[in-house]
Amino acid sequence: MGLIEGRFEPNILISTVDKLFNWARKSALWPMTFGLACCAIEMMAAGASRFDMDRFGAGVFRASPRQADLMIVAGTPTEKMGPVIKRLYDQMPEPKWVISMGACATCGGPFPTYSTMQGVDRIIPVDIYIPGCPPRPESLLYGVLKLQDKIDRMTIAKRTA
Amino acid sequence: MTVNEPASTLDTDIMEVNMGPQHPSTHGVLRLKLKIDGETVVGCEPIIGYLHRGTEKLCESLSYPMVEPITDRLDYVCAMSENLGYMGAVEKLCGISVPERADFVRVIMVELNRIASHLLWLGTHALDIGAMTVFLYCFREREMILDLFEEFCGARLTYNAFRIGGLLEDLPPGWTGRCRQFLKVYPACQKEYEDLLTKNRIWLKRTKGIGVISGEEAVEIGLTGPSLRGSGVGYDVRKAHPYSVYKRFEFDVPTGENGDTYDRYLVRMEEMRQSLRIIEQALDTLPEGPIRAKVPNWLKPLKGEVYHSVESPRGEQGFYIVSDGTDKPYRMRFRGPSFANLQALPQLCVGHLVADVVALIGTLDIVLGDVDR
Amino acid sequence: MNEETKGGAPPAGGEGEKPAPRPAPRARTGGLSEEELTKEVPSRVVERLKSSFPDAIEEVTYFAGNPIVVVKTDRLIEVMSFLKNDADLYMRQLADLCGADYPDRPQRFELIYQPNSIRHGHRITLKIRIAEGEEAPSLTGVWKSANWFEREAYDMLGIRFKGHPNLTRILLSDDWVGHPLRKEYPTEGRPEDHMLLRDPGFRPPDIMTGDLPFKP
Repeated sequence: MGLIEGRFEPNILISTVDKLFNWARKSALWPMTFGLACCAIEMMAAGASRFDMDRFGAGVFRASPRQADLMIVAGTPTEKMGPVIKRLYDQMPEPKWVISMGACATCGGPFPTYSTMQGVDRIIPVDIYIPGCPPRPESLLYGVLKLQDKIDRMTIAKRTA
Repeated sequence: MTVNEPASTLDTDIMEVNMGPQHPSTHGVLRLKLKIDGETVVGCEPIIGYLHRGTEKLCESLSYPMVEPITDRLDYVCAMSENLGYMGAVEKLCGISVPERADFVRVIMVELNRIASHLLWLGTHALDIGAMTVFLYCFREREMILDLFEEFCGARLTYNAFRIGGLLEDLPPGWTGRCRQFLKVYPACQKEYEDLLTKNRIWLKRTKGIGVISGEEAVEIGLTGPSLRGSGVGYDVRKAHPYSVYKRFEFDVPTGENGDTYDRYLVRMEEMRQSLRIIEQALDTLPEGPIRAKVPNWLKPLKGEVYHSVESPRGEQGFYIVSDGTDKPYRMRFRGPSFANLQALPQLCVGHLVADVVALIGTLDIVLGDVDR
Repeated sequence: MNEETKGGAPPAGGEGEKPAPRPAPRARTGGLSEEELTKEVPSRVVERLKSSFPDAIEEVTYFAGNPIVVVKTDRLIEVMSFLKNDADLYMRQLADLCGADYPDRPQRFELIYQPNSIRHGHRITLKIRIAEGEEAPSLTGVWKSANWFEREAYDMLGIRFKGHPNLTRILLSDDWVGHPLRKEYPTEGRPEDHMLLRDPGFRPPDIMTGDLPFKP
């Protein structure tokens, strides 16, 4: 990833830097507007007045993948859309995370058909899976909180073993 | 915005610009191949299918009751209309008559869903054109409707609430009172949106005279729903081929005059008021009685085929079912209104600015699940 | 959905002896009977069609109050133009166009048209039947809206339309193999697996039993 990552042994200085980095990263998760299907409506609802994802610093939806660090795959990924998803993921700058929202993105959901990709994790790595068809906005918020926990455990130190 | 004159003094090249499938204003995964001359669109080719989930094929291997959850996910913004259309088609195929109370409850749900759908449309349409506040206001009221749905069937978006021959559950106690409460609150909210938009100078500039289509042309190209009524053709399946119990309610079919984006906006705003009227009448005359006809669990219709259509918030939602006498449909066809409406987009776009394409996608009110199926 | 999935198939006839030809298979619907459903209903459109094109109509049936007219393939455009322009019918809109696949019939495909009269409120279902490899006449000259519907029928069923301006795939990607709505096409599986279609021993899988001809 960056210049300093993976170059130092874990020590007290590194853990303090980690804390700063992780705090900054988790408090400003900028998701990409990537609505594919039904779940996109719930994603919009999560960003709108009642649920207000901004409370968790994750409400700044960016239209461009280059400004985003969180991809919420909200909806059914199809075989035709697959290459597009992959390209958008590749365009996002590191570090980046993926939330697979809903049953379709997780495993194909109710569509075991020829044109539906059976899970978006066939083409991109996924950090958080949210069940539901579609998940409620609260579930998405919980997923974002879980992702923040995950980010909190990241370190720039060299991996031991 | 006025249509630009082709630049005569400067040489310009025709450029191809790709818009989508990941674009915030295409409402999903629509891709447009635009040909532009400077800022003016001279050609537009929609490329669809990025959400093609193969539902028509899938339904051939599902039994009749199992198809209903699939219809929820076609046009996910107004799942109740889809459910009603599918139920209507199967009931027509089998000749089942539905108890009166079930029909009334269905109509109430569908009309509430119409308001919710139009609210989502209004919010995103306004957001695309640049009005952020309306989006937040619309979602505020939409949540009130979703709360009513949640109480009725437990889901916010994909309801699966009706059953062949009636309903699964009756209305929960106290529901009608809360629905009336919503009817009381809502008109003031709608006035808020109209105060924000209807006379707003920016809104007028962005919508008046944009995407004009005459009534004759609109019929020819297959537009239905509010997009057609904005051009002055008062065709509404609820009036023309009444299904369910729509015959009993008094409501108007609003039409526009100029067939532009502004008129389509006015038509949808008026439609929400008419939906309120229908719900009010239905609540006043809601009969008591059973909620489900006697329908066998393992439904096997006769050999035959039906085409049944309902008025969804986007237009004529048709269901064509071929039955071969088994428990699974032999051929299931969903006629999505968005699919037919989207076909008019190239005609609407040409001659306008690139910025207006966003307004035009919004005004057709497409849902990609319905386009690609 | 528990109450729907219970039940099971109807009990089979007596063992040993062949079941006698039963009067008419009783449909399990709890609704109207077959006679009531297939009753003839008066229709202005069918009357007009019968009087104007007595030789173009192959068959008229009724189901659930809707007339279904099968016309000869080569007369389709003529009939459709008549429906559209006749002042008495004035079916200015083509609400739907779709295809269906019947592999057992000599004329394998059916194309189903749903013209719609906004002024008079008429509705009718019109059909043509075509064999595999045969071309259907394109209606793009009559209704503009037929364009995408025909492309979809081509994409899903592989029916070719004569005179269509841009007959390419619309929903699936351009390099797709096969036409999904054909009955021999499997519901599940990825495109490369569908090469199995060329295998003569292929049979359509049943997604409910998970009986798939390939490893998912």
